[in-house]
Amino acid sequence: MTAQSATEKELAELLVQTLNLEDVEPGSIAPEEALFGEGLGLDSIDALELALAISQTYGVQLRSEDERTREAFANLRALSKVIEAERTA
Amino acid sequence: MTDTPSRTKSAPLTTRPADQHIAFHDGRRITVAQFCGQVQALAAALPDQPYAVNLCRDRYPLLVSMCAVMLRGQCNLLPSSRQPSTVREVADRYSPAYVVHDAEIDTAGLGAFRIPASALEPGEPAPAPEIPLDQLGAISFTSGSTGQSGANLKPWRTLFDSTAVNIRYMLGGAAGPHELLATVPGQHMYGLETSILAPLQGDICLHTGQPLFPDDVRAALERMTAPRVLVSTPLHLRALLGSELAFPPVQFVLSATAPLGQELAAAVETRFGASVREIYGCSEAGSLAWRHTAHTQDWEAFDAFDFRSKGEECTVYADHLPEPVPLQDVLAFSGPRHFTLKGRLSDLVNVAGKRGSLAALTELLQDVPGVIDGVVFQPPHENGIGRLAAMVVAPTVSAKTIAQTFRERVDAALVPRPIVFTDALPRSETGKLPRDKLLAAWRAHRSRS
Repeated sequence: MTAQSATEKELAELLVQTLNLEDVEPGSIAPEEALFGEGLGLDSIDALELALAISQTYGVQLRSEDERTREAFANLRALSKVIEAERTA
Repeated sequence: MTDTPSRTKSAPLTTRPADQHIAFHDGRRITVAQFCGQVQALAAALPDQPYAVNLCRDRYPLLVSMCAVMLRGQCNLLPSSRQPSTVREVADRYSPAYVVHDAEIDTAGLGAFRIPASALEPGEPAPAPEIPLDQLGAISFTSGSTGQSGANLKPWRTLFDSTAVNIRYMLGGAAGPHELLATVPGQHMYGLETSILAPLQGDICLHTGQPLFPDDVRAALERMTAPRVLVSTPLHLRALLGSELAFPPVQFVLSATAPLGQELAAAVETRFGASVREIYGCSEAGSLAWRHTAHTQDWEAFDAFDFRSKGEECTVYADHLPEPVPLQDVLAFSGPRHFTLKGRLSDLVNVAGKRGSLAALTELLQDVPGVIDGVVFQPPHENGIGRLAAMVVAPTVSAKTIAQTFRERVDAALVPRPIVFTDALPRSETGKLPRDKLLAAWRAHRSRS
């Protein structure tokens, strides 16, 4: 597993806290591990809760109609890239 | 049974004027006449099998294909989820069946018909076709927490008549044309009635997508013209309010699937400038009553239904229902057409449109090897948007193992989280688990973590 970047680490903590993933150690989420389906097994309610937490923490609004968000939710790395890009935009 | 002479044997697919807009799809508005033309053409192209599992994601393809399936004399199967095991189960029960879909999807090994994009382009207009009233138009399935899904038969008579009633109450006689957006799936009974069937009779232009995130909803509403209607759920509405985005005005917000609450309803009214209409119903009977939740607790029953109470149990009768429907809730009538809900006869919960029994989920939890005691319950909403949780006594089992067991057996929305470990559940001497004691133990645990 590649190491988490600073934003990825922060996001992993937000994810575990928001979604009550008490059995998951934030540092153990591999940046390229799938968040939905097979990986962490998240679903659309989680996506909604996570999007809400991201908007409140980073002021970034995610869109599902946007192809990029679909990709963003694939894993931690993609998600943090979208947030970093939006924050500096 | 004798035929009623006043009743004909068929009803038109749509009762609307030919030049009104029925949907906004792929960047353009489609007229009723163009829609009827598409339905006719698609009906002729469908495979020759009696059942079609309709897995269309977008709302307009779902509308056109549902109607085409019926026009062809076939029946739509509407499973509670797109999970291949669920699709397989309904197709095994109603066979032979094929899958009709509009996007890349797992078709569970069944024969499949993908609707070509060209089938939804404006083509030859056509008049509204007639559908026999006794034809089975759809079978809507409710998710079973364990075991088989429940099948609800919907003849065209049921779909046609309930749509007329629904429009009258949901839009309260307001002048259109309305533009409608929904955050719920069209296959679910509430989504089906409000977002797929309503545009067949009401002056409604349907928006095809199913936005999830608050900014998607905002963007979709921006593209629509007033007066707008938003069909949603408490879960989605709570997320919209939490986003602090500015939304364009909405005339009516409809909510169902879980209790809305007066405070949330009032907050939605303020934010959207809307009248929030909460709908009460069930998959078996469809929508039955509505209330203006921000201002009253009382539900007004739709006049097409006759509610008959016997003790705590209430059964609904209507000419357009295939059979009387016993309700799962305890209703207290304050007048001939007005009632309040006094709790549930059973322990059914509804999370994001997925229905499950807490007793069955608890049983599933207790059957996990290594689990000594446990309970699945619905904690009160705090900051989250509403998920089931579990408290469990199991010193040797991980939360991951428990979650995995649930994931294999039930819909993702019904998987409890968090799964909290404790030394013992606060059971009484008789083994009962009082809700107040359970919630106290839950709160104590949450404040420690």
